[in-house]
Amino acid sequence: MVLLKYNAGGEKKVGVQGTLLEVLKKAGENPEEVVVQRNGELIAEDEKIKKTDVLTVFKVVSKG
Amino acid sequence: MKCEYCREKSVIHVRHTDKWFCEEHLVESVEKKVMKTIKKTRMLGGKDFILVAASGGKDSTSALHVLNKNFKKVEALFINEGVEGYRDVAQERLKKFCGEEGVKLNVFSFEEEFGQPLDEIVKKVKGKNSCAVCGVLRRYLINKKAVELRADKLVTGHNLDDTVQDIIMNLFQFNMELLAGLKSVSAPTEGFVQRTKPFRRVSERESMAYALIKGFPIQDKGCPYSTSSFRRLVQEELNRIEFEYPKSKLNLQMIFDRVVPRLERKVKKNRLRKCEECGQPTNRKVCEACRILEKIK
Repeated sequence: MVLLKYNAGGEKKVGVQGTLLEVLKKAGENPEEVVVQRNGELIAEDEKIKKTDVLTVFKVVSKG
Repeated sequence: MKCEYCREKSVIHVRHTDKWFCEEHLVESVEKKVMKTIKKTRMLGGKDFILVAASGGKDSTSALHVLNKNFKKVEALFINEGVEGYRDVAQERLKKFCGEEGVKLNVFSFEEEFGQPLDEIVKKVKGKNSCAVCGVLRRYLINKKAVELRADKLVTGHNLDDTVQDIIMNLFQFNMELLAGLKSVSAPTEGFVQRTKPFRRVSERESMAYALIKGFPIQDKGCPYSTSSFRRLVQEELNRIEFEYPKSKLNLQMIFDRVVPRLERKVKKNRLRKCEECGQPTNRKVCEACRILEKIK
């Protein structure tokens, strides 16, 4: 399972492998509303994601 | 995919331009976009004293960095509204950032100016949305302090997404006057420091990626009082459309920029006068900020 950790708190496990775009869609995230890091590095939507990956998802739309 | 410019591994796909960027070229692209907006609209001059209304978030922190790199006199203005566990974090991070950038940070708070923090104010103002109350008091204080500090221009971190949401929301609510005021540079008005939006062509995602690549210590959590469900609805729908039909948001903003001068001529502006309580410009006898302050005494 791919583990998504959200910058604003919370986690989600997604049982899909493939590109980041596919993982985000499976997690119910609009790719237009997030940027994602793996091991502290930004990754693009076509990046291959392994089931052991831990991703940090930055929601770009939260307003304060 | 490889970066459009250097064939290195890309870290982001910017959908509205259909370009893939590596870290270095995303940074370059954002900075070029901002400087192009400034040049095209002549919103800032080389001799201007520029005050950036900084919240500690990604947009205004990034704006502060780009402007400080390109202009001589830039300072930050931070308003601590008094939201426990939220604004103090933002203030500390912004203080650290300004120290590293060599930028003077001017801090003012609701507690010092109005005698109580937002946490107390929202308990006393019944029937009003906390975001609306905070927004009025915050804008009031920002303008007041910008005038007192004798700034030539006040910069806000509004990005492409913010400005397009504002357009749609004001269209849906038939707010003609507010709609006509959504320009990149506000009209010169006595008692107001001109507001400018140099980040208005930069999308939320580009802005977040820029701040992360640069390693800025930003406040990336939302305000606990944030309740604007109408904005969130507009935001979600626009992002859904943008994903299916890329460049929709940018096209909407560009069309708006073309029609706004005509719209401005059509809209009858209310004449501004001085608020009888505080002297700040308003179109009523007593400004909205003073009305709120009266209720919380």
